[in-house]
Amino acid sequence: MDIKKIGIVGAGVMGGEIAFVATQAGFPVVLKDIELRFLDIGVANARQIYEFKVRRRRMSEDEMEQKLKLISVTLGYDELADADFIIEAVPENLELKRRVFSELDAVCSPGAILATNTSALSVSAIAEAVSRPERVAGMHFFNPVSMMRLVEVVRGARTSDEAMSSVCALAEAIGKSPVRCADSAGFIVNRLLCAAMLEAARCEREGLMSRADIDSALVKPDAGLPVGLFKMADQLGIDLIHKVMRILQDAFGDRFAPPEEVERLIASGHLGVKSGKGFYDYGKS
Amino acid sequence: MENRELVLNRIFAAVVAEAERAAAEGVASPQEIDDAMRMGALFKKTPFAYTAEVGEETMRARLDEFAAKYGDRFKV
Repeated sequence: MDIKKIGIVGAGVMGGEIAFVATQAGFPVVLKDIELRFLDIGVANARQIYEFKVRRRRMSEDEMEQKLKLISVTLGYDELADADFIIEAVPENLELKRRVFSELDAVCSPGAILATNTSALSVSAIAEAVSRPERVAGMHFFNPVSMMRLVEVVRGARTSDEAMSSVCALAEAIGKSPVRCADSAGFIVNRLLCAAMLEAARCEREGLMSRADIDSALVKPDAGLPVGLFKMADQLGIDLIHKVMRILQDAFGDRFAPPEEVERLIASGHLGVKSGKGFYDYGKS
Repeated sequence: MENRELVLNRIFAAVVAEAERAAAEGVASPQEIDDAMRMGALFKKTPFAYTAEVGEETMRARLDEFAAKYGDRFKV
Protein backbone atom coordinates (compact mmCIF):
# COMPACT_ATOMS: atom_id res chain seq x y z
CA MET A 1 0.00 0.00 0.00
CA ASP A 2 1.08 3.55 -0.67
CA ILE A 3 1.38 5.46 2.60
CA LYS A 4 1.16 9.24 2.33
CA LYS A 5 0.38 10.15 5.91
CA ILE A 6 0.83 8.37 9.22
CA GLY A 7 -1.23 9.24 12.27
CA ILE A 8 0.31 8.59 15.68
CA VAL A 9 -2.18 8.64 18.53
CA GLY A 10 -0.62 9.22 21.94
CA ALA A 11 2.36 11.55 21.71
CA GLY A 12 4.55 11.25 24.81
CA VAL A 13 7.97 9.68 24.64
CA MET A 14 6.96 6.60 22.64
CA GLY A 15 4.90 8.63 20.16
CA GLY A 16 7.81 11.01 19.72
CA GLU A 17 10.23 8.16 19.06
CA ILE A 18 7.89 6.67 16.47
CA ALA A 19 7.49 10.12 14.89
CA PHE A 20 11.27 10.29 14.66
CA VAL A 21 11.68 6.96 12.85
CA ALA A 22 8.75 7.68 10.52
CA THR A 23 9.86 11.19 9.54
CA GLN A 24 13.46 10.10 9.20
CA ALA A 25 12.21 7.74 6.49
CA GLY A 26 10.34 10.66 4.90
CA PHE A 27 6.76 9.98 6.00
CA PRO A 28 4.60 12.94 7.03
CA VAL A 29 3.13 12.26 10.47
CA VAL A 30 0.34 13.75 12.51
CA LEU A 31 0.74 13.42 16.25
CA LYS A 32 -2.52 13.38 18.14
CA ASP A 33 -3.00 13.60 21.88
CA ILE A 34 -5.54 14.97 24.35
CA GLU A 35 -3.41 17.75 25.81
CA LEU A 36 -0.95 20.17 24.32
CA ARG A 37 1.71 19.31 26.88
CA PHE A 38 1.81 15.68 25.71
CA LEU A 39 2.19 16.83 22.10
CA ASP A 40 5.05 19.06 23.25
CA ILE A 41 6.76 16.09 24.90
CA GLY A 42 6.41 14.01 21.74
CA VAL A 43 7.76 16.68 19.40
CA ALA A 44 10.54 17.59 21.84
CA ASN A 45 11.54 13.97 22.03
CA ALA A 46 11.70 13.59 18.24
CA ARG A 47 13.72 16.82 18.05
CA GLN A 48 16.10 15.59 20.75
CA ILE A 49 16.90 12.45 18.76
CA TYR A 50 17.46 14.51 15.60
CA GLU A 51 19.69 16.93 17.52
CA PHE A 52 21.78 14.03 18.73
CA LYS A 53 22.30 12.99 15.10
CA VAL A 54 23.23 16.54 14.15
CA ARG A 55 25.78 16.70 16.98
CA ARG A 56 27.23 13.42 15.77
CA ARG A 57 27.43 14.98 12.28
CA ARG A 58 25.20 12.32 10.81
CA MET A 59 22.74 14.95 9.63
CA SER A 60 22.84 18.67 8.87
CA GLU A 61 20.75 21.17 10.79
CA ASP A 62 18.83 22.02 7.60
CA GLU A 63 17.99 18.39 7.06
CA MET A 64 16.79 18.14 10.65
CA GLU A 65 14.48 21.13 10.24
CA GLN A 66 13.12 19.65 7.00
CA LYS A 67 12.39 16.37 8.76
CA LEU A 68 10.77 18.11 11.72
CA LYS A 69 8.48 19.97 9.32
CA LEU A 70 7.00 16.58 8.45
CA ILE A 71 5.49 16.48 11.96
CA SER A 72 2.20 18.20 12.61
CA VAL A 73 0.21 18.04 15.82
CA THR A 74 -3.47 17.98 16.66
CA LEU A 75 -5.82 17.62 19.60
CA GLY A 76 -8.73 16.40 17.47
CA TYR A 77 -9.35 13.43 15.23
CA ASP A 78 -10.23 15.39 12.07
CA GLU A 79 -6.61 15.61 10.98
CA LEU A 80 -6.45 11.82 10.93
CA ALA A 81 -9.32 11.41 8.44
CA ASP A 82 -6.96 11.19 5.47
CA ALA A 83 -4.18 9.19 7.16
CA ASP A 84 -3.45 5.83 5.50
CA PHE A 85 -1.92 4.30 8.55
CA ILE A 86 -2.53 4.89 12.26
CA ILE A 87 -0.18 3.82 15.04
CA GLU A 88 -1.84 3.97 18.44
CA ALA A 89 0.56 4.47 21.36
CA VAL A 90 -1.66 5.55 24.26
CA PRO A 91 -1.12 4.16 27.81
CA GLU A 92 -1.57 0.39 28.34
CA ASN A 93 -5.19 0.25 29.41
CA LEU A 94 -7.66 -1.86 27.48
CA GLU A 95 -10.68 0.40 28.02
CA LEU A 96 -8.69 3.46 26.94
CA LYS A 97 -7.32 1.74 23.84
CA ARG A 98 -10.75 0.47 22.87
CA ARG A 99 -12.21 3.95 23.23
CA VAL A 100 -9.43 5.38 21.05
CA PHE A 101 -9.99 2.67 18.43
CA SER A 102 -13.72 3.27 18.26
CA GLU A 103 -13.06 7.00 17.85
CA LEU A 104 -10.54 6.23 15.10
CA ASP A 105 -13.01 3.88 13.46
CA ALA A 106 -15.51 6.72 13.19
CA VAL A 107 -13.15 9.15 11.48
CA CYS A 108 -10.50 7.18 9.56
CA SER A 109 -10.88 6.25 5.91
CA PRO A 110 -12.15 2.69 5.38
CA GLY A 111 -8.85 1.61 3.84
CA ALA A 112 -6.67 2.84 6.69
CA ILE A 113 -4.67 0.35 8.74
CA LEU A 114 -5.15 0.74 12.49
CA ALA A 115 -2.09 -0.56 14.33
CA THR A 116 -1.65 -0.74 18.09
CA ASN A 117 1.71 -0.49 19.80
CA THR A 118 0.47 -2.50 22.76
CA SER A 119 3.17 -4.48 24.55
CA ALA A 120 0.91 -6.57 26.69
CA LEU A 121 -2.77 -6.32 25.78
CA SER A 122 -4.67 -8.54 23.38
CA VAL A 123 -4.82 -7.16 19.85
CA SER A 124 -8.05 -9.11 19.24
CA ALA A 125 -9.67 -7.51 22.29
CA ILE A 126 -8.68 -4.03 21.10
CA ALA A 127 -9.96 -4.82 17.59
CA GLU A 128 -13.42 -5.63 18.95
CA ALA A 129 -13.93 -1.90 19.34
CA VAL A 130 -13.99 -1.27 15.58
CA SER A 131 -16.17 -2.15 12.60
CA ARG A 132 -13.12 -3.33 10.62
CA PRO A 133 -11.14 -5.72 12.85
CA GLU A 134 -9.51 -7.19 9.74
CA ARG A 135 -7.58 -3.93 9.37
CA VAL A 136 -6.28 -3.95 12.96
CA ALA A 137 -2.88 -5.46 13.86
CA GLY A 138 -0.28 -5.12 16.56
CA MET A 139 2.86 -3.12 15.81
CA HIS A 140 5.00 -3.52 18.91
CA PHE A 141 8.08 -1.29 18.94
CA PHE A 142 10.94 -1.70 21.42
CA ASN A 143 12.57 0.97 23.53
CA PRO A 144 14.40 3.04 22.51
CA VAL A 145 12.57 2.89 19.18
CA SER A 146 15.26 4.91 17.44
CA MET A 147 17.85 2.22 18.29
CA MET A 148 16.00 -1.10 18.41
CA ARG A 149 15.39 -2.84 15.08
CA LEU A 150 12.64 -5.20 16.11
CA VAL A 151 8.94 -4.67 15.54
CA GLU A 152 6.66 -7.53 16.60
CA VAL A 153 3.80 -7.58 14.10
CA VAL A 154 0.88 -9.20 15.83
CA ARG A 155 -1.96 -11.01 14.09
CA GLY A 156 -5.23 -10.61 15.97
CA ALA A 157 -8.02 -13.18 15.62
CA ARG A 158 -9.50 -11.32 12.63
CA THR A 159 -6.47 -9.53 11.17
CA SER A 160 -6.26 -9.96 7.37
CA ASP A 161 -3.14 -11.13 5.52
CA GLU A 162 -3.19 -7.80 3.72
CA ALA A 163 -3.08 -5.85 6.98
CA MET A 164 -0.19 -8.02 8.25
CA SER A 165 1.70 -7.34 5.02
CA SER A 166 1.00 -3.60 5.23
CA VAL A 167 2.32 -3.39 8.79
CA CYS A 168 5.43 -5.41 7.89
CA ALA A 169 5.99 -3.22 4.81
CA LEU A 170 5.76 -0.02 6.84
CA ALA A 171 8.10 -1.44 9.51
CA GLU A 172 10.66 -2.16 6.78
CA ALA A 173 10.14 1.23 5.15
CA ILE A 174 11.09 2.93 8.41
CA GLY A 175 14.21 0.80 8.81
CA LYS A 176 12.88 -1.84 11.18
CA SER A 177 12.84 -5.64 10.98
CA PRO A 178 9.35 -7.04 11.44
CA VAL A 179 8.80 -10.44 13.07
CA ARG A 180 5.29 -11.84 12.79
CA CYS A 181 3.70 -13.47 15.79
CA ALA A 182 0.36 -14.61 17.16
CA ASP A 183 -1.75 -12.59 19.57
CA SER A 184 -0.47 -14.44 22.61
CA ALA A 185 0.32 -12.91 26.02
CA GLY A 186 3.69 -11.14 26.02
CA PHE A 187 4.10 -11.97 22.31
CA ILE A 188 7.69 -13.27 21.96
CA VAL A 189 10.20 -10.98 23.61
CA ASN A 190 8.42 -9.95 26.80
CA ARG A 191 7.46 -13.54 27.50
CA LEU A 192 10.98 -14.90 27.09
CA LEU A 193 12.61 -11.97 28.87
CA CYS A 194 10.31 -12.43 31.85
CA ALA A 195 11.16 -16.16 31.94
CA ALA A 196 14.85 -15.17 32.11
CA MET A 197 14.29 -12.48 34.76
CA LEU A 198 12.23 -14.81 36.91
CA GLU A 199 14.89 -17.52 36.82
CA ALA A 200 17.57 -14.97 37.71
CA ALA A 201 15.44 -13.84 40.66
CA ARG A 202 14.99 -17.45 41.84
CA CYS A 203 18.75 -18.04 41.68
CA GLU A 204 19.31 -14.95 43.81
CA ARG A 205 16.67 -15.93 46.33
CA GLU A 206 18.20 -19.39 46.66
CA GLY A 207 21.48 -17.69 47.54
CA LEU A 208 23.42 -19.02 44.55
CA MET A 209 24.75 -15.59 43.61
CA SER A 210 24.01 -11.94 44.37
CA ARG A 211 22.06 -9.96 41.80
CA ALA A 212 25.14 -7.87 41.00
CA ASP A 213 27.18 -11.03 40.37
CA ILE A 214 24.42 -12.56 38.24
CA ASP A 215 24.25 -9.37 36.17
CA SER A 216 28.00 -9.19 35.70
CA ALA A 217 28.07 -12.88 34.67
CA LEU A 218 25.36 -12.19 32.10
CA VAL A 219 27.28 -9.43 30.37
CA LYS A 220 30.50 -11.46 30.03
CA PRO A 221 31.17 -12.52 26.43
CA ASP A 222 30.18 -16.17 27.00
CA ALA A 223 26.68 -15.11 28.09
CA GLY A 224 26.59 -12.05 25.86
CA LEU A 225 23.76 -9.88 27.18
CA PRO A 226 24.20 -6.13 26.65
CA VAL A 227 22.98 -5.44 30.18
CA GLY A 228 22.22 -7.68 33.16
CA LEU A 229 18.64 -8.80 33.73
CA PHE A 230 18.13 -7.00 37.06
CA LYS A 231 19.49 -3.81 35.59
CA MET A 232 17.34 -4.29 32.48
CA ALA A 233 14.28 -4.62 34.74
CA ASP A 234 15.23 -1.32 36.41
CA GLN A 235 15.57 0.34 33.01
CA LEU A 236 12.26 -0.97 31.69
CA GLY A 237 10.51 -0.05 34.94
CA ILE A 238 9.63 -2.43 37.79
CA ASP A 239 5.96 -1.43 37.44
CA LEU A 240 5.94 -2.44 33.77
CA ILE A 241 7.74 -5.73 34.46
CA HIS A 242 5.25 -6.45 37.25
CA LYS A 243 2.30 -5.73 34.96
CA VAL A 244 3.65 -7.95 32.19
CA MET A 245 4.39 -10.80 34.63
CA ARG A 246 0.81 -10.61 35.94
CA ILE A 247 -0.55 -10.82 32.40
CA LEU A 248 1.75 -13.78 31.67
CA GLN A 249 0.72 -15.43 34.96
CA ASP A 250 -2.95 -15.12 33.99
CA ALA A 251 -2.24 -16.63 30.58
CA PHE A 252 0.32 -19.33 31.39
CA GLY A 253 0.24 -20.00 35.13
CA ASP A 254 2.29 -19.42 38.24
CA ARG A 255 5.71 -19.89 36.68
CA PHE A 256 5.25 -16.22 35.75
CA ALA A 257 4.09 -15.03 39.21
CA PRO A 258 6.03 -11.83 40.06
CA PRO A 259 8.80 -12.54 42.59
CA GLU A 260 8.31 -11.31 46.18
CA GLU A 261 11.16 -8.87 45.68
CA VAL A 262 9.28 -7.25 42.78
CA GLU A 263 6.15 -6.96 44.93
CA ARG A 264 8.23 -5.37 47.70
CA LEU A 265 9.81 -2.86 45.31
CA ILE A 266 6.39 -1.91 43.93
CA ALA A 267 4.95 -1.51 47.44
CA SER A 268 7.75 0.87 48.42
CA GLY A 269 7.54 2.86 45.19
CA HIS A 270 10.93 1.73 43.90
CA LEU A 271 10.14 1.49 40.21
CA GLY A 272 13.67 1.35 38.82
CA VAL A 273 15.88 3.96 37.16
CA LYS A 274 13.01 6.43 36.75
CA SER A 275 12.39 6.61 40.51
CA GLY A 276 16.06 6.46 41.51
CA LYS A 277 15.87 2.98 42.98
CA GLY A 278 14.81 -0.49 41.94
CA PHE A 279 16.90 -3.64 42.18
CA TYR A 280 19.80 -1.20 42.37
CA ASP A 281 20.20 2.23 43.94
CA TYR A 282 20.74 5.03 41.43
CA GLY A 283 21.64 7.61 44.04
CA LYS A 284 18.59 9.85 43.84
CA SER A 285 15.08 10.09 45.33
CA MET B 1 32.44 -20.43 40.11
CA GLU B 2 30.33 -23.55 39.88
CA ASN B 3 27.37 -21.45 40.91
CA ARG B 4 28.08 -19.09 38.05
CA GLU B 5 27.77 -21.88 35.50
CA LEU B 6 24.64 -23.25 37.14
CA VAL B 7 22.99 -19.83 37.27
CA LEU B 8 23.71 -19.08 33.61
CA ASN B 9 22.57 -22.56 32.59
CA ARG B 10 19.34 -22.15 34.52
CA ILE B 11 18.57 -18.71 33.09
CA PHE B 12 19.18 -19.76 29.50
CA ALA B 13 17.42 -23.12 29.96
CA ALA B 14 14.37 -21.25 31.28
CA VAL B 15 14.37 -19.18 28.08
CA VAL B 16 14.82 -22.30 25.92
CA ALA B 17 11.91 -24.06 27.64
CA GLU B 18 9.65 -21.03 27.22
CA ALA B 19 10.73 -20.60 23.59
CA GLU B 20 9.90 -24.25 22.85
CA ARG B 21 6.48 -23.82 24.40
CA ALA B 22 5.85 -20.64 22.41
CA ALA B 23 6.90 -22.35 19.16
CA ALA B 24 4.74 -25.41 19.94
CA GLU B 25 1.76 -23.11 20.59
CA GLY B 26 2.32 -21.49 17.19
CA VAL B 27 3.19 -18.04 18.54
CA ALA B 28 6.01 -17.87 15.98
CA SER B 29 8.52 -20.20 14.31
CA PRO B 30 11.86 -21.05 15.98
CA GLN B 31 13.65 -18.78 13.50
CA GLU B 32 11.24 -15.90 14.19
CA ILE B 33 11.64 -16.39 17.94
CA ASP B 34 15.43 -16.28 17.64
CA ASP B 35 15.23 -13.17 15.41
CA ALA B 36 12.94 -11.44 17.90
CA MET B 37 15.23 -12.19 20.86
CA ARG B 38 18.30 -11.06 18.95
CA MET B 39 16.79 -7.75 17.82
CA GLY B 40 14.32 -7.05 20.63
CA ALA B 41 16.29 -8.19 23.69
CA LEU B 42 19.81 -8.10 22.18
CA PHE B 43 20.42 -11.73 23.18
CA LYS B 44 23.43 -13.33 21.50
CA LYS B 45 22.46 -16.77 22.82
CA THR B 46 19.05 -16.90 21.18
CA PRO B 47 17.16 -19.97 22.37
CA PHE B 48 17.13 -22.20 19.28
CA ALA B 49 20.61 -21.25 18.08
CA TYR B 50 21.90 -21.79 21.62
CA THR B 51 20.28 -25.23 21.76
CA ALA B 52 21.93 -26.13 18.46
CA GLU B 53 25.26 -24.86 19.79
CA VAL B 54 25.03 -26.88 23.02
CA GLY B 55 23.57 -29.87 21.21
CA GLU B 56 19.95 -30.99 21.21
CA GLU B 57 20.63 -34.00 23.43
CA THR B 58 22.67 -32.08 25.96
CA MET B 59 19.94 -29.45 26.20
CA ARG B 60 17.24 -32.11 26.53
CA ALA B 61 19.18 -33.79 29.35
CA ARG B 62 19.71 -30.42 31.05
CA LEU B 63 16.02 -29.54 30.83
CA ASP B 64 15.06 -32.96 32.23
CA GLU B 65 17.53 -32.57 35.08
CA PHE B 66 16.33 -29.05 35.89
CA ALA B 67 12.69 -30.12 35.64
CA ALA B 68 13.33 -32.87 38.21
CA LYS B 69 15.27 -30.54 40.52
CA TYR B 70 13.53 -27.19 40.16
CA GLY B 71 10.09 -27.82 38.75
CA ASP B 72 7.81 -28.01 35.74
CA ARG B 73 8.85 -24.69 34.25
CA PHE B 74 11.74 -26.62 32.66
CA LYS B 75 9.50 -29.40 31.38
CA VAL B 76 8.78 -29.24 27.65
